[in-house]
Amino acid sequence: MALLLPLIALGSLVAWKQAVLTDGRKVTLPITGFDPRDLLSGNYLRYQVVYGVEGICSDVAQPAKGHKTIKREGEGYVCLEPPFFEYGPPPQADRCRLFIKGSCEVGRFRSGLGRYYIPAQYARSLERAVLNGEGAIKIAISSDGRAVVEALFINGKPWLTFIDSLLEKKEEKNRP
Amino acid sequence: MSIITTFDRPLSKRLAEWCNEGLITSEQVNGIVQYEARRPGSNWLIFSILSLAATVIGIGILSLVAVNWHLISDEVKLIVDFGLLFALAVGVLRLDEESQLLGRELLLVLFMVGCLASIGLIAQIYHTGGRLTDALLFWCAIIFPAATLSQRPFPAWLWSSILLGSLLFWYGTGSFWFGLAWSEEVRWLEILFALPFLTASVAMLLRAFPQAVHFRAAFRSWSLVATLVGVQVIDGIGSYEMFDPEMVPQALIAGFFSGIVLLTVILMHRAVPNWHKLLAAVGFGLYLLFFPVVLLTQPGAWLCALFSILLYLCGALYTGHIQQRHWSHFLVLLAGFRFLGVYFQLIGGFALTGLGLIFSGLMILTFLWIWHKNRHRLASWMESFS
Repeated sequence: MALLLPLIALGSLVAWKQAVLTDGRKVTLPITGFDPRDLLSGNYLRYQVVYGVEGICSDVAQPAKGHKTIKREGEGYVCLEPPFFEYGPPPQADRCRLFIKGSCEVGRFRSGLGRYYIPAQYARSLERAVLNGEGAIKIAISSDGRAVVEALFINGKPWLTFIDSLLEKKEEKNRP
Repeated sequence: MSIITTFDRPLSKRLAEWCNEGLITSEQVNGIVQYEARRPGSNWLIFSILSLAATVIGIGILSLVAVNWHLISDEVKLIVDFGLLFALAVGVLRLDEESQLLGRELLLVLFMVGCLASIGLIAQIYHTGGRLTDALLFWCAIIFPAATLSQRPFPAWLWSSILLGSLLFWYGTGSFWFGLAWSEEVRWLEILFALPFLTASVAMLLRAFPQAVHFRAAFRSWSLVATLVGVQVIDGIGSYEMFDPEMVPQALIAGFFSGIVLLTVILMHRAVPNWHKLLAAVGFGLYLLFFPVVLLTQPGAWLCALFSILLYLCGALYTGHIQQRHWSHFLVLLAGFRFLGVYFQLIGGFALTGLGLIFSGLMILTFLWIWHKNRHRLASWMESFS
């Protein structure tokens, strides 16, 4: 059992993520970002998702004595239909038809959507494209607000297609 | 007292000497050597190298994950990954004879590191946005039962190191859901002060589980390391006003609470010898005083040196008594070098002159010579102290 537990736990994690990808509602949202390196999982694009909702994590918290004013932190959710943000636990279905749950930390909404793993050799090209506002992510959202990233798009095309077109252009340039 | 731990020279050399002196026969020598070879504690060098090799292989696996194999489908990656883990688990279960211990331990370490690599692979495939500390703590939770299967210290060390590192980073950087108004500086100070008591408490709790002997040893050693780091950091900043005195009491609450609770438990425990209780009271008292005295009053280098030396000597007495000779010798040396540090402060600029350098060098040599000539006697005295 001691050796089975990690296998069961890891298998459950895969099943949980896969269930969201398979059954969740698909939405494509624009992104802006930059590229750091993860010790455990290689290069990834870190980005901010543009939810198209005003006032996300913008409430100001009561500062402690002697401390600067800080943004309010805690659990919250971004509702996409209709678009609004609220602190607190997830809403009822009649209030919000599609939402992503997360938490506000240091003025930012964290929902587990903040990174996309990419091959190191394409990192610079993809980072440049995302910084130019050409990036978008397709996500799957479950009914309880969990979201999993499915695909990265550059100018509406899958990122591999974008890289292929870049490589083609480079080859054409190098041809005599 | 064990014969084996009385002296530092290799067993085979000592046995040969005793045989030559007619104290034991050659048959007895062969019997002892065979018995020691069969003990799980023997061949530590081979186990250590094997553990290192397993870890290097694991790091290689992690690096391969990091390359991001975008050309291989995610399904294939997951199938191969889980297949490998399953094969390693089966290997561990099948190698359960004493003669196969080495192979079993190697496979177990590979399994543990393989699970960590799997977490990285899953994060990569599903683009999980969690923190590294979350992944490491998840790994600690799922791999703990497997780590208890090992008969060697390395898996327990690996697990406790990653657990402690993750928890400390998780708390120190404020990456938790309950927000504190304290600065990161104050949180790290809180960790520095309280960690020795917290890890010692865990070691003490693990006494109730005889099969957790390696985990207990790991947490006890981390307690000693944490104490050393705490003493040296506070000794080093003793002369600098680095903290807002108003914030200091907040940083010391957890340490005081855990230290006093642990000391109370030790003092009330009937099985603990009176000498240990006295040593604990003195050592704990010094440590609990050291931090607030330095941080609130900035007393200067002298008092810091005195506290440090007394704490090192307390630690040396304790580790010597529990037959942790290497720790004991190390702490005596630390106390000696700290004393030399005081001496250098005394003579000031003279230390930089030619004569001063010669005199200082001779002092160091003299100290080392005295320690080297008397270390066995000192160690025996500490072990017999009660």
